[in-house]
Amino acid sequence: MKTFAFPGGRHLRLIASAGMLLLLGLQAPCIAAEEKTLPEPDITVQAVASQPSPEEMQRQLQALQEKMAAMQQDYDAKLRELNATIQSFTVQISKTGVVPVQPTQPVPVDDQDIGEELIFGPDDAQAASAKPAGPLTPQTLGVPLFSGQNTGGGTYGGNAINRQVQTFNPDIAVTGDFVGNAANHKLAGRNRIGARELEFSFSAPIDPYASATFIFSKPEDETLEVEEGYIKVLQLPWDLQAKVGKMYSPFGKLNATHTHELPQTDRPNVLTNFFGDEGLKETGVALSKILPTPWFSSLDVQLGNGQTGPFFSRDALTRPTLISRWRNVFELSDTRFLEVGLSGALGSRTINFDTAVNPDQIYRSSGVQGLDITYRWIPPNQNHQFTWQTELLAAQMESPALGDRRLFGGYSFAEYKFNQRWSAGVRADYSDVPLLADAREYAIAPYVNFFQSEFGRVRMEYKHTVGKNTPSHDQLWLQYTVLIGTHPAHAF
Amino acid sequence: MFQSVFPSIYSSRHPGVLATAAKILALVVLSLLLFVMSPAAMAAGGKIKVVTTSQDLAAIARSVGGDKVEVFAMGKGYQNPHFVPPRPSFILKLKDADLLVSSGLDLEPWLQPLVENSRNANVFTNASGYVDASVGVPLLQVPSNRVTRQMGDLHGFGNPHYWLDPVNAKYISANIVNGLKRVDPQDAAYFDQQRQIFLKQLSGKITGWMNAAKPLQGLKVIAYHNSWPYFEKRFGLNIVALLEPKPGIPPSPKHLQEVIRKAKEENVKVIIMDPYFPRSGPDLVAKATGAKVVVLPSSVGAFPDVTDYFSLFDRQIALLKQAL
Repeated sequence: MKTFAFPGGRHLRLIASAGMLLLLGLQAPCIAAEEKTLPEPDITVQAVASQPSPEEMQRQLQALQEKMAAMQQDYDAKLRELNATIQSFTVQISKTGVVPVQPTQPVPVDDQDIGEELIFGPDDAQAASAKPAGPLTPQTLGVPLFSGQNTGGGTYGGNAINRQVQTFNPDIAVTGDFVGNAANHKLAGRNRIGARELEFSFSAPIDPYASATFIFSKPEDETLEVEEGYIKVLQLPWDLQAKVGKMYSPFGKLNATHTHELPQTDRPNVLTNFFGDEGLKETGVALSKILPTPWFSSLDVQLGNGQTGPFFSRDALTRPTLISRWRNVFELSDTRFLEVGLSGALGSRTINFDTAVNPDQIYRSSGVQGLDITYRWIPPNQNHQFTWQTELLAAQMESPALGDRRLFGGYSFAEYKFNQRWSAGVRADYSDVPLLADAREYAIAPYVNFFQSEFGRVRMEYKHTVGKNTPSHDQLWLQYTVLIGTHPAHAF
Repeated sequence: MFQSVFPSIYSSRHPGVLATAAKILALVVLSLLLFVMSPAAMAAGGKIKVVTTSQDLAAIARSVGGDKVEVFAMGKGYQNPHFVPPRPSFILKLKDADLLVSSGLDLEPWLQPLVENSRNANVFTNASGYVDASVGVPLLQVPSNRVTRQMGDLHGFGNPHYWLDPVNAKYISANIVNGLKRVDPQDAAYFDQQRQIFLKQLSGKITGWMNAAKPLQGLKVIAYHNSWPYFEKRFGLNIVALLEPKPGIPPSPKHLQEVIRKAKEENVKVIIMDPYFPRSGPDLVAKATGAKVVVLPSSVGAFPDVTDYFSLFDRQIALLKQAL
């Protein structure tokens, strides 16, 4: 009779049984130990069984009284000891604000060992309290009204942690990306102001081993969709990290950048032509490895279903999309950085939805390769910065209608930051159009950024597009992007 | 045709699904093999690898760690500690680190993504190899109200520039020593001894600085950023206004006018600023009021000759006295 079915056959069942036995075996000594510590009964039961004499009872009672007295003494001593310990802890806390903790946590700061009288000036506790901001108000001179003394926001050693932030809620952020569009061709969109994209992001550690990120996006004219949703396993053998879910694929420098974080208002033509408005994004599994080189070198590989048209649209693992990026960052000096990446994607695309007609001819292979080069200059004060970023892409696609095609595209931009608030740049685009025969686009796009703060940016971009077998046109964007909440810091 | 471009597994002309699957598997295994090639990180001469977020913490870690540690500082003294560029090479440092020492108090928002990508669970927040140097420090300017970004980059836990009071080094050093003991319990006595030596030295220095700073007592100054309350309290300065209207918000012309009015009213002679802020605002106020702009090192490493925690205060006090 099979009492419970254990998947995995006989061997696994054996291993499982052995494991359970082992667990039981480990339990046994614990139970035995517990039994040993139980107090042995002092009053013998035989007294009830055989009627004792009054003298005998008297003696037993006396013995009992003596025992009680001894116990009381013992307990009193223990209580005194405990009280003394609590007392010393209280003194320590009042002095340092540090709660002494278990040896697995850090040892408390001991004030006694640092010649406090010598190095302390006035009464520190008093001096640490609020410094009055004088006649200035926070409105006039930015000195916030403070009060009270805290013992730190640290996480170890019992500092008073601000309860307000110490919750298990995920980091939540909402981004608003508002774009005013003016164009002289209907293909470049209507002339209007729109909420191009509202994005809601949630991220938090799941447990000590993994974190999760869920990003929902509401593009204008579309329904709310999952932009990204993935689990990141932080530490695997051989220094690997894994991501599972829907995510931007590791391809090139700009692909994984969210729309509101793009360096320009629009994605470069080559990326929208090759990967659509939202970039190369796949649901699947990705592995990331830091290579053992003296410079930073990482290899990312993703296996996806094939969900990014026009090149990858099989949407099944029968012919999965394989995407990889080899990223290298060379630190030329403390202020100059060169990043070089090589990317590749391989998959297949749907060319015919009528599966009944000719099932063998429905999917055709396609591939995209990319080279990205980024140079950055970040001087010590960071008020000036220079970035030059270039990506070149080549693609191959088998198409019965257009013949087998080889496509090329690329973009290059340079941006200079003048001061804390202003930066300006210009981008040049070149791209073949995959699904139009002999069609390509050239564009030039100068732009200016104004950073209201780290969380608000205003941008103006003009773009002049010249097309071969596609319409030429001009476009002007005015963009206001804001972020509220807690957003993960940007990658380098 | 793209026979040369696509591997045969991807040729749509030959739909042998099983064979294809096997080949894909082979490809995946191959790429995994590539992954596995990396050898485990080798310990450098058996020293404890300490990575800190600032050169101040690095200086103190070197003092208490002695010859048992090898210290690397990610943030440099000439950089704004809030906005250190998160270089990918820091991920390599964190990957091999035994101990990560951070300033805590949300001063370093750039740190978390680096740690998350380090593949080194020992230095994850609150793991045994993680030290929050701010534990126990009596903090100043702890907001009594809920903090919002309307207040600029205000820190919810209190002002995070606590290393600018040398007395706080006793907490910082204790926290670092506790961390060192966790990762290297055998040398516990050595670290304690090193800390005693450091504190004794510091103690003497503080007495000297307090004496040297006597002429600075009550000195009215204008500061660029709100980095100096700990320094102000210890050495008796009086910061009467800040050039930033709110932390992290650059001064507007209107605010500068208000500061100039205030400086004239209070007869302020000195404007202090961290090296990484732009000079234009302070220079404007200086020109309008006749005050002197003093660029003070706010961290070890801010100037080439500020190489340790002691020379930081030596230099600050000397510069301020020169400006009198």
